[in-house]
This record gives sequence, structure tokens and C-alpha cells, in this order.
Amino acid sequence: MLVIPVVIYILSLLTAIIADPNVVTTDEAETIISESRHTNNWAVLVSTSRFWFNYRHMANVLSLYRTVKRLGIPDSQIILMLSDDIACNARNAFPGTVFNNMDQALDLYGDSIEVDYRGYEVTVENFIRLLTDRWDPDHPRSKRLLTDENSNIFIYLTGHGGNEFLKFQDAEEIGSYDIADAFEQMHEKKRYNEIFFMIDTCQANTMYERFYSPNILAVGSSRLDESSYSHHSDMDIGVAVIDRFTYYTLDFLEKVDKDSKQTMDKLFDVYTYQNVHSNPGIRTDLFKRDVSKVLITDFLGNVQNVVVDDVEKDILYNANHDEKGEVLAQNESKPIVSYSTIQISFDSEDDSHVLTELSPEFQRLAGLLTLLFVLALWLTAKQA
Amino acid sequence: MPQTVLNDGSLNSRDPVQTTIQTVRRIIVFIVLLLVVGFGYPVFFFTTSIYRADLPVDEINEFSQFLKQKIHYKIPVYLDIPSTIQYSTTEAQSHLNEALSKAYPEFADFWTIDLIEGAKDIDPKEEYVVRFEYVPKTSENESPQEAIEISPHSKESKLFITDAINKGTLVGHFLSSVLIDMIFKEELADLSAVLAGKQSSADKNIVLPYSANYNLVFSLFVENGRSIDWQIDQSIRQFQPILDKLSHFANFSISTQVQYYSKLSKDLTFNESRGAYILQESDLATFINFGDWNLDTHDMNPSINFIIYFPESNYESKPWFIENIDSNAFLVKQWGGVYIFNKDRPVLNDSKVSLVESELNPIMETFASQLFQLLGLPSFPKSPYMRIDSLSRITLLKNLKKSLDNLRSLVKLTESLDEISIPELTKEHVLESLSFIKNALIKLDVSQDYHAAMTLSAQALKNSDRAFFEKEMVQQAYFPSEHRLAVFLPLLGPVGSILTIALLKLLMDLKSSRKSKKKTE
Repeated sequence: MLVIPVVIYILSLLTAIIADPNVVTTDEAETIISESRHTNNWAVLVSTSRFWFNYRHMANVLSLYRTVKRLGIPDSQIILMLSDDIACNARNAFPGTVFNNMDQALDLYGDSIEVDYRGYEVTVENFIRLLTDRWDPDHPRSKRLLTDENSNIFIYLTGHGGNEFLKFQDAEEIGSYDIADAFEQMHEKKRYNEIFFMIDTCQANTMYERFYSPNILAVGSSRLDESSYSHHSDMDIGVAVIDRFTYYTLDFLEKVDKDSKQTMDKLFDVYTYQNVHSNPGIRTDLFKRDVSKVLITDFLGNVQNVVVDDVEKDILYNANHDEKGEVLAQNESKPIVSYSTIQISFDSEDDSHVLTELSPEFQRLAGLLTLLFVLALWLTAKQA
Repeated sequence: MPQTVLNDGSLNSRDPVQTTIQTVRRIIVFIVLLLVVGFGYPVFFFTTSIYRADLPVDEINEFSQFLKQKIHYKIPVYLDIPSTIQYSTTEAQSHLNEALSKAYPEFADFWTIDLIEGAKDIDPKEEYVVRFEYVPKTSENESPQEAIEISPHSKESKLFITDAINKGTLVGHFLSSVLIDMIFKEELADLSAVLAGKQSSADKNIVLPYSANYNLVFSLFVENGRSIDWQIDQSIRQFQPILDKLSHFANFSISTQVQYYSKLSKDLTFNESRGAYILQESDLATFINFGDWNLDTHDMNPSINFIIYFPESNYESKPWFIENIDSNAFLVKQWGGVYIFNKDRPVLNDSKVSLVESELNPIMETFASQLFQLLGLPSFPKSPYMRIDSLSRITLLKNLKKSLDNLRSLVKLTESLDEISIPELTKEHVLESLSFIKNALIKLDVSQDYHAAMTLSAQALKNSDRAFFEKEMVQQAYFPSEHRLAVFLPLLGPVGSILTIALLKLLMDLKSSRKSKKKTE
């Protein structure tokens, strides 16, 4: 199966020669590129590892976080799950930072990351709940995946995996069937338009083979019985800083702009055996569109559909005036917002619930009896 | 005690104490075995089994299959026909039915108009009224034209009939074309699209998914840090009459904010010849700078955002234009609207800028129009009364359909995943949702009260969502069934192994004692 990357490589060379992307004008590109029909983009980024020596998994997930944020997905639509024990780890020689490269040019931790599930909250249960949106009614909005049938979702997982499982923080694991079933539930409830699933773990390709719901594009970093290798170690930090697969992904995505017309197949061209040192897999049979016509920004960006049609000019006028053109009085009396003072009182403690209601006489009597009982016990004990 | 043992002649050769211990041991082993099998196994079975409540599958299937047949829209339209026009309501009804069944054959028994004679005491704000007026040929007006006047302030329309068409069938044609091709045109098109499961032609992904609560967020984003006054409170008040009319549809909560130092993510180029900054149309898709602008409301309900952008170049009297487009406003699908504000008059250097009501009102008109598009109101006729009525009927159908879709997905899911639990609460929500659907249909049949029926359908939708998203319905809540044995092995292992060894020993004992019995005999 070593042939595939070679073929891809040759094909990519060919396409690069035949069609230089810079030559294509935006108008042409718009006609070539098929419509995604989505109106909003969401991203779920998960690093399932803990502890210092898994530095690279945090760098992996933060690489993608940086990218989706840079390309315009608002933080309210990014769900970031990571242990977050690296940047401020006692062993980190550069506190408050996570780097993707030994040149330390790109601080992935930055100053505005919003972690939604941190530390021990990164569990299989929370991940499944997140995908299927089964929570308490008071679960905050920022920690929920509130997608609909017009949402494109990018899901990125990294950590230690095996044949059809991914380990969550040394404590539990998620199976490929669990994710496949969760996706099916999302499909049934029309919670997505398209999903782009990317996974960077050992034996990653085994994780997406069980998917059976439509409109899912999946990429993995390594085949069955293959490891996903780290890119390099930073001697100052003392551990490997990033995995090869994600390193080259970020390397490619750094050159993509908010309104770029770069397509998905160009990203896949980067995934060669020479780069990744394992055989990355791409699964497209569930995906309806041709990957060479799918924009990177369909999943990783937030290009919004705008309408600039003429607007009506007299809706409010008509609503506020009658036939004779006179102002209707109803709106004058109603203030929009009524500010009311918030009353805080310290008496509320007294209203707290009492488990059983006792009259004060009975309370006194009970106290007296208890005292007598204790006294009697003390006296008898002394005699003995 | 030894005496009882001695009575047993067969064990005479053994130590009586030993035999007692042996019997007691056997009894203990037997009791433990009994406990494990009779009590432990059922407990294990029941505590690890998945609870699956019985969902009313047949009812759900029946409803979703025959939803169209269960809905009967019968919209009353009151006719006011003067005696100068030779036409009766019964004639009109049969003409209209004919025209309707020609245009929408699938709507028989689903959507009809009920023409009622006499509109004297009818409030045109409450009910549809069509008034006929006869325009005779006069000396001033030699050849009068037929005309239609649809009021923008109520649900009233006027048809002006001339001599040329003052014949039964022609009046009938006129009336039915006004009703089917004008007043109810978009509604009919939308309803037919919803029934067919397609997106309506007007929609194009603009309309927000239905929610019973929306946040309307009006934001002023200022490019630099110079403070600006805006009289938004007064301007927003203009929305109140419309929001009041929509109160049965959804609850709107309004908030406003001003944010300074809100730069675009891209620099604009200054066009010398036009003396203005030019925004390309393709830039609009990434105009909103989500990285730097805080637009998150942290509220569970969806937000509809309306943004006024105030560029710094207003201080230099250099306007911003969108290439090839006259208006300075654009709509972002399923999200909100944006208006780029250019100050008409130059700003004096030290003065504080204020956006006064007269400047904000045209912007609010734009936002109102965008709000109508985002909520999916028909674009015709003008009257908000008619539009909101149409919206209610469309939303009623959409909500009922969506609720039943949700319930059917739930059923399908529970059938395909045998390990998913179906808690009692899910069943309760399903039943509640179904009862809201039934109530909405009854409301429609009894009183044709679209607003109340729509509100009930919203409840049905909410409950069907709750049923699907019930917290306990997580398949992989603790462990998948393949791991069940692994999880319990630390408990079952020691108990099981001790029990098996004891059993083995017991059996061996029995065997040897039987042998010795034989020997003694």
C-alpha cells in the first residue's frame, strides 16, 4: 500500500503543473468550487493526554485551535478540550507558553485561549455528551455544540490511540463504534451539514473506519499497526514538541487566509510518507463532494454568506403610523428596558429550610432530655 | 449433639465433631450458592440492564405519515359585495375552489379559503376582509380601470370593479387571482415547499431555525476610541409594535452595546477618484472580525445581531462604499445584519459625535427589513398583519413537521442502537409533545386560531427536542456492554473463584464419602 502516497505525490505534482492555483481568478474558482450550503462553522478540538511528556499533544491541538481562530471561527463556536497542564507545568522552561517548533517562533498558547473542558473534565462521557448535546438544562452555552443542519463541524482528536480506540487521560478509552454511533445520532437529529474528522494518534485510521453516517470526510495520521511519529524534540524543553502529521498540517494552514480559495486536496497532498513517516489515510466514500472542490475554509474558516439585496424601507414606519400618517401613541408610553434595582438582603439566611418544624417548647424539652440522658450515662459509667 | 450424630449409623466410623463441621460446611456452601444464584444474579442483571421505556411508536408513525391529512387550514375571508355588483359569495366560493385546485391540486382539504358574506362588523385588523367597489363610467372618468388596493395597515383589500368585468365569472377570476396569486402567494409556495420537504425558494438559508426566544443585539462598533453617543433607546422603541405583533411567535429580548477599537481584519484601500474607501463585495463574507469583536451573549437562546459599524474615516469625511452596491447594508445569513455608517456632515474636530434618532431611524428600517427576512416573513403583501398571519401558518406546519421528525428520529435511533437507554423522562416528553401536537390541531379545527396553534406547535417542538436530548440517554454513559464483564471482574473474580473451589471441594468430599460408605458396607 506504499503505492498510494507515491501516486498522490505524482498526482499532486501533475495538478500543480497543469493548474497553477495562482492563475485561477476568484470568479472562476467560485464556479468550480461546489457549494457547501452551510451557514456556520464549528470546531471540536480534543487532546486526550495528560502530563508533561505529552507536551506534543497539547501543541497539536493548540495548532489547530490557533488556525480555526485565525481563520475566523468565534470562540463561542470552538469547543476546546485539553488537560491544560503543560503551559504552566513546573517543568516548562518557558512558563506560560506552548511551542510547535524548536525555533520557538510561534507561541500557540498565546494570550487569549478559551479552554472549554479542562483537566479531568476531558472524559469519554463528556465528549459523547458534547457530540449528542445531552446535558443538564443549565449547562452553559459556551460548553455546548449547538449546531444545526446548516453547520459544518471540524473535529480534531489527538492522543494515544490503538486499534479502534483512543485513550482518554490514562483512565478510559473511546471506541471507534462509540464515535460512529454518536455521529449517527447527530445525523438523525440533523445536527450537521458536513463533518471533517481529523485524528492524529497511533493507528489513527482504524478510528474512522466504523463511520456509517453520510457527509463525513475523515483523515487519519497512521494505519493499523503504525505509530504516529513526533516531529522533533526541543532540547531546551526536553520533550518532543509536536507530531509530524499536525506539524505539516499547521505548516500548510499557516499559509491559508480567511477568504482563501485553497482546496482540501492541497492539504491532503502534504500528507506524504516522506513527511509523516507513516501512511496517512483519507476516507471520502461518505462525503458527497469532490475534495478537490472543497474549500479549506468550508471547515476551518468562517466565510459567511451575505445578501446585499435591496431592503424594504417602510416596515417600521407602517407599524408606527396609521393610515393618515399619524404616529400611533402606543409606543410612547412603553420603555424598552425597565431597569429595576436589584435588592440584596442578608435576611435570606433566616428563610432557609428547616428539615423538621419543632415548636420552641419542644426544642427546649428535647435539649433538656438529651442533657439528662448524657448525664445519666456519665454517672452510670462512673459507677462501673 | 453427639447423640444425634451417633444415631446415624452409617457415619459411625468417623469422628462425630468432624462430621458436624462437614455438614455445616455443606449447608453454608449451599446457602451461599443459593444466595449468589437466587439473589446476586438477579441483582447483577437488573443493575446492569438498560432501561428502555416503551415509546408510542405507532402513534408517532401514524402522525408523521398522515400529518397533511390532519391539518385543515380554512382561512375565513369576509366579502363585502355591494348590490351594484352581480355576484354572490357562493359563486365566489366555487370559483375560488376551482382556481385553487387547479393551482395547488395537492392542497385539497389541507388549505382552503372560507368566503363569508358580510363584513360590516368585522375588524379588518383581526380578519381578512375584501371589499368590492363598483366604479361606474362617469363623465370625469371615461374608461375606468380595474384596480386592487391592499392596505398596509390591516388585513383589508379593496377590489375596484368596472363595467368591463362586472360579470359573475370575471369577478370570480379577479378575486381568486388576487387571493391566490397575490395575498396568499408566498404562503402557498412556502407551505407546498415545506410539505415536499424542500427549502422554500425564498429561504436560501437566510431564515434562522425557529426558537421560542431570540435575543436582538444592537451593537455599535467604532473603529477608534473616540466616544460616541447614540440615541438607540428611542430608535429601538420603533420596533415595539412589530415585536408586540410577533409576541405569539417568539419572545424577543433586546440588548444594546457599544464597542470601541474595533478594527477590521483587513485594511481597506482608498479610492482617490471616488474619494472613498471601497469594500469589495467578496470582503463582506469576512467583514465581521470574530477574533477581536466580542459578539458572544453567553445566552442559550439564539441571537440576531445588528451591527452599525462606524469607521474612523468619518472624522475625515471619507465615506465607505461597497463596490457595485448602492446600499451600505448587508445581511449575513442566519446571523444578522450589518450597516456601515457614513456621517453625512463633517465632524468638528473636538466635538463629540452623536448618532441622533433621525440618523438611526433609516438604519432601523434596514434592520427591520433584515429581521423580517431572518425570521422568514413573506415579502408581500406590505401589511404586517397579513405577513405575520402567513408566518404563523407556515411556522405551525414547519414546527409540527419538525417535532414529528424529531420523534421519528428518536424512534429510529432506539431501534438501531440496542444499547441506548430510554429513560422514563424521554417517554414523558414524547407524550407531552404528542399532546401539544394534538392540541394544536384541535385549536386549528375548532377556531382557526393560527396564533394560538402556532404557540402550541412551538411547545411540541420544544418537548420533542427535550425528548431527544434527554440527559440520561447517553449510550456510553459508563461502559459499553463489551466491557461490562471487565468492569465487574474485580468483584466477580474473588467471589466466583472462592465459590467454585468450595463447590469442587464439596463434590470431591461427597465422592470420597460415598466411596467410604461403599467400603464400610
